[in-house]
Amino acid sequence: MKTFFTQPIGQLGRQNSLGFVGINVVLLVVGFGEIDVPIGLGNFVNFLWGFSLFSIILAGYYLVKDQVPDYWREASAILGGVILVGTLLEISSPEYNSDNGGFAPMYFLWAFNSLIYVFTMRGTGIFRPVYEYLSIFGYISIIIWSGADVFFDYAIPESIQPIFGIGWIAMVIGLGYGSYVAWGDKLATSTE
Amino acid sequence: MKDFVTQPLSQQAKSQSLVFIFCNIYQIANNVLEFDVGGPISLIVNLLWGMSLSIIIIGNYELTKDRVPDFWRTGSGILATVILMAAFLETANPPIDGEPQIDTTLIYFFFLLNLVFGHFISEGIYKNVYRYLTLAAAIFGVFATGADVFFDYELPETLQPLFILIFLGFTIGVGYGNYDAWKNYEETN
Repeated sequence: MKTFFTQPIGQLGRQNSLGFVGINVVLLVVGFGEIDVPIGLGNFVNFLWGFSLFSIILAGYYLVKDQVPDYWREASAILGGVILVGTLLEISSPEYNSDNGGFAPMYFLWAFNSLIYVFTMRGTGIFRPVYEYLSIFGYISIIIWSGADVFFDYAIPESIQPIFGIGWIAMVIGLGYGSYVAWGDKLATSTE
Repeated sequence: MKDFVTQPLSQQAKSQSLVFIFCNIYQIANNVLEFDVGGPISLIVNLLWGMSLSIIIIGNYELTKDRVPDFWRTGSGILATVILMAAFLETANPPIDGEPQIDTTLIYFFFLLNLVFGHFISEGIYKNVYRYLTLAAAIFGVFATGADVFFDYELPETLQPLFILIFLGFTIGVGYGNYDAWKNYEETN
């Protein structure tokens, strides 16, 4: 049990990357299939989603720490904290969720920071290019979707929403599976 | 002033453990035994509770740092921030007629889950009596908060005497257990 909780960050990062992909697949199936899920189960899946994203952000600094200044550690902790507080509150206080505009700024902040993160890491070989491009497409979609809501009080029309759905899927593969592969590459070449 | 804010973490954690115990006793008296002291004082105590718990969490990493990976430092900083945020939100949006304006239950679920995880790495740092008091309270808390958020089930009020016992165990385990651990740490270092 102790070994599980004290496992290296690389292992934690990989597990949560896969977890993030899996949970998003579940959410997409439930969303597109319009499947009725009990509220409690939905809350639990959302909790796991928030935790896996938080872990990916936490691990994200350690994945690239040789390439970035030391203060990125604190910055990633702050972003992780924002994501954690936001997702936990979204679940237990649904009246503040993003459908009501409550946490759209959080998604904007996350996507904006993640976009900078991916651009900074381009050409370093940490992430494979295909996942970089997928992430960039995904984050730009989220920035447009959340930014339109936060800054212009404009809801994206339903007719073009499928594009944002594709953007979300691109983000899931780019961030989720991309991080999994990047950690695999790092662990294979590192002695840490 | 400078000496106060730059005091060693051990001093800070010890004094905040005592603040934490005081705040918990106040909350038991105010909420459970219904010694209704009143608004502003309760809000201040709630804020102090969050702040003291945050410092206990930060101190906990320092006590256990030789046993855990480096990323726990960042993780404990985030956990402390999350607790502080919950306390700020509760203070700024106090309950109306006993109903919270912003429900922070899931934040405490997450904290208690971390408390359960912490049990497995704290052997020899905290005395066993405090470790197990904390573990029992944390497991109970995980079930109680989890039942509320995931199953929309609130434990019946008839169990209130049990709540008081569990909360006392939590106060002693986390509050005094932490104080005692830092005292031992100071003696051996």
